[in-house]
Amino acid sequence: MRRNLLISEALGQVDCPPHVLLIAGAPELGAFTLPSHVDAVMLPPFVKTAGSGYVPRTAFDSTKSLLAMRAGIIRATLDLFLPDVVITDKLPRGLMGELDAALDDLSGHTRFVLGLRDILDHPLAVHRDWMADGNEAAIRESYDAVWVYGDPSVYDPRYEYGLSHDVSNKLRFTGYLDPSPRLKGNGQELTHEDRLPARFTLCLVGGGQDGGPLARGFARAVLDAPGRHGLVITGPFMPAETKAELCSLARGQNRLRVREFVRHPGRLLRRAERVVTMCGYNALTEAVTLGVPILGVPRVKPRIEQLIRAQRFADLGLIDVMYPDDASPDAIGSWLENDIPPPPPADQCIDFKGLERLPEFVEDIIPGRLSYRQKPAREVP
Amino acid sequence: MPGDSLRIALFTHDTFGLGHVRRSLRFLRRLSEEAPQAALLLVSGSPALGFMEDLPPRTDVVKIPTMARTGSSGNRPAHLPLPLADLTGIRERVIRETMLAFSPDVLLVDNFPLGSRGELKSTLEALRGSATKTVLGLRDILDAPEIVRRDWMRQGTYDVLDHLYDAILVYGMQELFDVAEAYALPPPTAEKLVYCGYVTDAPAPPRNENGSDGFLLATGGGGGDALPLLTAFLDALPLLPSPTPAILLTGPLMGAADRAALESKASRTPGVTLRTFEPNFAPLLSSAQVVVSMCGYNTTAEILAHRARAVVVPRTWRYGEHEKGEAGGREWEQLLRARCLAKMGLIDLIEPEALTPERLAERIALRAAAPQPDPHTVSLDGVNRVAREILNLASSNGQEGRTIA
Repeated sequence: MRRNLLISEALGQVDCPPHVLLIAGAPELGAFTLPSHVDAVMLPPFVKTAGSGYVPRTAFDSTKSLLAMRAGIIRATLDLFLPDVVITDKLPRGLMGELDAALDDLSGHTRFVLGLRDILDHPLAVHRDWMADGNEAAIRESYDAVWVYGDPSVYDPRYEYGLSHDVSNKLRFTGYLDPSPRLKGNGQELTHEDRLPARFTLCLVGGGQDGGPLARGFARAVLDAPGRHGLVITGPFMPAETKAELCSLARGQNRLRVREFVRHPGRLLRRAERVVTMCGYNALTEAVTLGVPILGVPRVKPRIEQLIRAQRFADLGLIDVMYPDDASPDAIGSWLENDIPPPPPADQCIDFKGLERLPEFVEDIIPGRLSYRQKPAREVP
Repeated sequence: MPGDSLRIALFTHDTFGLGHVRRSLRFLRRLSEEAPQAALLLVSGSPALGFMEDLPPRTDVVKIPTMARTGSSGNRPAHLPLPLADLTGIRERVIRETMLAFSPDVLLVDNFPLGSRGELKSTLEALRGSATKTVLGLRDILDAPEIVRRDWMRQGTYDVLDHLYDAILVYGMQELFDVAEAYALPPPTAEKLVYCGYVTDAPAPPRNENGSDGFLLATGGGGGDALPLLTAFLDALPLLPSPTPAILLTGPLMGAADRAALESKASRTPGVTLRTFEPNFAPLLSSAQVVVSMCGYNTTAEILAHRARAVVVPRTWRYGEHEKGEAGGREWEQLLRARCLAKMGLIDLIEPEALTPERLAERIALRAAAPQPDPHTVSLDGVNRVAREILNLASSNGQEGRTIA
C-alpha cells in the first residue's frame, strides 16, 4: 500500500496531475491520507494462510464469495473509470484471477503495466507461483510493460527468474523508489522529536507482524550497556503482548523509547546515528541513502525476498547483515559497539530515481496523454 | 452467496461531517454484540472513515470513491475530480456489485433514501425480488417540512419509500417531530415507520456535579462549519462575569485557514485550550459547566444523554457554506431540532441571527446557574432499538438457516 501511495503521489508531480484511483484491500482505515488527485476504492481484504492460500479476514464466509465480490467491484470500477493506464502491483491477474474480467473488458483501450518490487522471492518459489498462476501468459497477452522498481545491478529478475524472452522484452527498470528526497530542505521538520537524545539507534521492523524477536533483541541490547540509546518503531501489526513487553522494558528510563507508528519514518531515520532494521523494500531503500551504518536482519520465512535483498545490499558494502537466529542481544550489542566506517554513498552504486522517473515512464506508455513537465520536489511540511 | 451466517449491510452517504459514520459504527458495534455470528459490511465513500476507531469484529468495509464535500467552503479537496456523472456511475455500480455479491439479509441505508444523485436506485430495485429486507434510517429531522416535501416530490422519493423499502426507522421521537405528518407520508408508507429514539453512545456515566473543574466546553462538531460559533465564543469569554477556563474542540474537518484563524485568536485569549478532536468526548461533556455548540444530531443527542447544560446556536446556512452564510441557501434541520428541545426546557437556544458575543456571554452565565436539565421524557435508546429492529427483520425473512447468535 505504501509503495502504491508513493507511486500515486509521484504521478501527481506534473503540471496537470492525472486522476489516480487506487484499488486495494483495506488494511487499516485512516492510516494514511490521500493527495487531492488520488481517491481509493477499498475492498475487504484477503489474508494469507499458513500455506499458500488466502482467506477472507472478517465478514465473509468463504474465499469464493469474497473473490466474486472483489472481482465484481474491480471490474465495475475499471469499466466505468476507463483508465488510460492500469498499474497492477505484483500479481498480473490479481488474487486468484480477480482481475481477469477487467483485463478482458479493457483490452484495446487501456494500457496495462505490471509493477514489480526489486526482488520477489527465491527463484524456485517465483517459478512455481508464476507457473501456477499463469503469470507469464497473462503478461504476454494483456500487458504492455513490466516495470521493476529496482536496479539490474542489484538484482535482475530477467536473469534470476529465467523470464521468457517476450516477457523480458517488456521489462524496464525504473530504479528504486526512494521517498526521502521529498523531505529535503526542511530543517524544522523534527521539532516535535526534540526530546530524542542527540545520538541514538533506530530499530525498524516493518509492519511489526513478525518483528517481535528483532525488536526485543534490540531493546535488550540497548539496555544491556549504559550509554546506548535506542528507539523502536513497532509497526501497527505487532502482537499486543509483544508491544506491551517492549513498553514495560522501556518504562522508567529514558535510554529506550518505543513508538507504534510514525507516518514519516524518514524523519526519524535522518536523526538516527545507526539503524537496525528488517529488510523490507521501503525501509531498506530509505535507510541506505542516509549514509549511516545499517544492520539488516532480514525476514527469512515464509519468503526469502528480504534475505536476498539484504545479501545484495551487503555485497555492495551498504549494510551489515545478521541472520535472524544470530541476532541475539549480545550480537546486536557488539555491532552497536563496533567501529564501523560510514558506508559508501548508496546512490553511486544503486539507482534511486524511480519516483522521479515514473511520469516519464507513463508518458512513454501513453504518449501525449500525460502532461509530464515535472514540478520541483515537494516539501513535506 | 453461500454461507449460513446472518449478513447485514449498512450504506452511509459521505456528505459533510462525522456524524453519519460514527452513527453507523455504533450500530455495527451493537449488532456485533447482539449477533456475534453475523457478517457485517459497511459501504461508504466517507473520508471520515479515516478518523474512526477500530471496526467491530466480523466487520468489513468497502470504500467507494468519495463524493467531494469534505472541507470548508471554497476549499473542498474534491478527491478524484471526475465529472460528477462519471463518479456517480462508478459509485452506483460498485454499490450494486457489492450488495448483490454480499446478498445481505438486511440493508440499512442511512438518511438519504437514494444516496447521492440516485446512486442507490438500481441497487434497491435489484434487491426487490430478493430475500434482502431494505431499511431506511432517518434522522429525527431532515429539514423544513416544505423543503423535504418539495425535494421528495422532485426526486421521486415517495415512490421509493413506498415500493423499495420494507421499513423506515426514525432516529428520533414522534412526540418531538412527527415524520409522517411533517413530510405528508401516505398511510402505507407511514405504516413502515418505527420511532427508535435518539442514537447516542452507551449509557451516560453519573454526572460530575461537584463543580470543582468548572470549565466551559465549546464544540464545533465535525468542524467544517464551526468557525462562526467558535469565534463568537472566544469573543464572549472576556465578557463573562467571572473568568472561566474553556476547552474548544474544533473538529477534525475544520479547514486549515479556519483553524489558523481560531488558533491565533485563542492564543490571545487567556485560559483557552484548543483541541482538534477528542475521541473521548463524553467525559468532557459530563463535567463541563456549560456546553456551547451548534445543534447537529450527534452533539445534541450526547448533550441530552449527559444532561449537560447547553447553549446552542443552530446552523442554518447550508453545509460547508458558512463563508457565504445564508446567501448559499438555508437548511432548517438544526433550528427545528433546537426549537423542539428548547420548548421542553432541555437546552437554551440562541436563534442564529441573534448571536452576538454579549448575548452568548449572558446566556452562558445564566445557564451555568440554572438547574440541570432533566430529559427523562426523551428516548435515548436508539442504538438498541435500531439493532433490535434490524435483527427482527432479518429473522423474519424466512432464512431460518442463517445463524443469528
